[in-house]
Amino acid sequence: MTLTTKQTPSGAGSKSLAARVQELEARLKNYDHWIAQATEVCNRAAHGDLEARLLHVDVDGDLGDLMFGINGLLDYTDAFVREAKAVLGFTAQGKFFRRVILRGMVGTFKHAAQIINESTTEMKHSAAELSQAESRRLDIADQFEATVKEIATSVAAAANEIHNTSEQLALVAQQTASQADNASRSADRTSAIVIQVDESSQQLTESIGQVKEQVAEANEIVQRAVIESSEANTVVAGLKDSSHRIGTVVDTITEIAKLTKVLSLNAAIEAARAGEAGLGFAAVASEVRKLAEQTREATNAAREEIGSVQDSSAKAAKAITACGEMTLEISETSKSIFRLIQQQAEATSEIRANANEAATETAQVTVAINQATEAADNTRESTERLVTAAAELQEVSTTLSRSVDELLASIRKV
Amino acid sequence: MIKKNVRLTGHERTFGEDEIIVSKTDPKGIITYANQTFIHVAGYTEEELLGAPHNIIRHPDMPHCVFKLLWDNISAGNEVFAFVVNLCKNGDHYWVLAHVTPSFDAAGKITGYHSSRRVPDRSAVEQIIPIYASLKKIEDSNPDWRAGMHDAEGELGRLLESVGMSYDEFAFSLVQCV
Repeated sequence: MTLTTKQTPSGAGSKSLAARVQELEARLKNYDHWIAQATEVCNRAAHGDLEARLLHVDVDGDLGDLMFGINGLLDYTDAFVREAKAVLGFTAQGKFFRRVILRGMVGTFKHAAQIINESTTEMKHSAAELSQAESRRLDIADQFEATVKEIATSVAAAANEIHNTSEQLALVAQQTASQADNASRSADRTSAIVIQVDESSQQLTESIGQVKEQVAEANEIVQRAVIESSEANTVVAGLKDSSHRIGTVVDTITEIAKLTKVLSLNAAIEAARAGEAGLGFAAVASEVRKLAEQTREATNAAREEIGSVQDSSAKAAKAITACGEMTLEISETSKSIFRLIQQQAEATSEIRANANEAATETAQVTVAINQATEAADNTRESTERLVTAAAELQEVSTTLSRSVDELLASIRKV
Repeated sequence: MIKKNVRLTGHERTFGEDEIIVSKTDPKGIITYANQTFIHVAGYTEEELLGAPHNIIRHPDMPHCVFKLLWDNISAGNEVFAFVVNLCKNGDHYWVLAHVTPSFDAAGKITGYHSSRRVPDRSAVEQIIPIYASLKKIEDSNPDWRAGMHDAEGELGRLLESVGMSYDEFAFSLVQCV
């Protein structure tokens, strides 16, 4: 393959036709050889193998130019591919300093190289932004972690505190319920006592009413007694006058009896003088004397009787007067009693009013106690729910903390 | 080998901004392809280059530690950018911005390496020259070249640490022509 095709010198007409043919045949053979070589190199290149080149090219002219042209084409293509591959390789690793070196690049290669470089610059900016975003993301993750951890810790602490507080609350509620129960029993007893007081007061009021009536009745009787004693006094005074007048009558009768006796004696003396004739008369005179005697005796007895009547009436008058005075005293006393009873009635009424008020108050207290009991029950129930909630909160807090850890791990891993 | 007899001329060659020098080697660094620009700039024929080790164009000013870094990277399957001064057949030199990458077979095994080299910006070259000089000095100051290379490697590491960049970033930061 060392032959070099050479133009047949002009004026070689002396050469034989056979020699000319031989020369052309040799030249054709050489052409065939290089065309075959070029075809193989081009085929390999067409199949992506840019390594093959046409070596030891020993032909000049068009054929030589073709061979070097093929080599040049492959050289530029190869160089471009390697450059592009390298740049993209670096870019893929996040290194953006690498650019396609434009020197030596021509035409479409240069244009493509420029586009690659522009893209790399864009990617560099994007990567910087991405890096900043990444950094911000991690910062946010750190902040988020700090904040959430703090919250989780606070929540856990709060849950714990809630738990403790609710236990205390439950105890307090229990105590409250127990105290309310005691208070309720006390209130019931108070209520019973108040009712008794009310009943007693009512009975007392009724008794006072009766007493009042009786006192009024007594008063009336006393008034009547006063009037009657006054009337009795008048009667006794009348009796005194009558007995006095009777005494006068008795004195008159006594005078008459005395005169009668004198007269009878005179008659007896006259009858004695008249003897026999006078005997009958003497009997009558004796009889008259006897009657006079009897009258004197009867009058004396009447006088005695009148005297004792007068004594008795005086005593009666005195007694009636004393009785009237006592009656007046009784009247005064009963008036005092009436006033006292009146006061007592007022006091009792007041006691009743107070008792009623106490009853109302007690009822209200009972309502309040019932409400307190209910509230205590509610508190106990709420507290139980609270304890459950606190436990759940603690659980949730733990879960949250774990989830946040997982989330942050995945954020940071991205 | 021709290289041994090369005398440095101090003359710098250059090539077009739209041109790329392309070479391919097998996994051991033996040249399997050189494009026309390579042939033209380096001054070798295709026959001289194919089958030759790639260090045929190694310039004595290049620190060993830079090639160690290069080989460590590409044999691990990574690309490397490196500013390299290369030696021409006649003793001239030329600066390139080399992009070296492994070639893989379908199974992902390294089948060879590919280097495409461009004309670097002069400003980048001016920054690189004193760095390489200092590394080279460290290497030359140690009679054991491996130990010297190790020292220079440490120095390069400290330098990168001081600017807070990986080697890739540092090399690329000098590239203006993007």
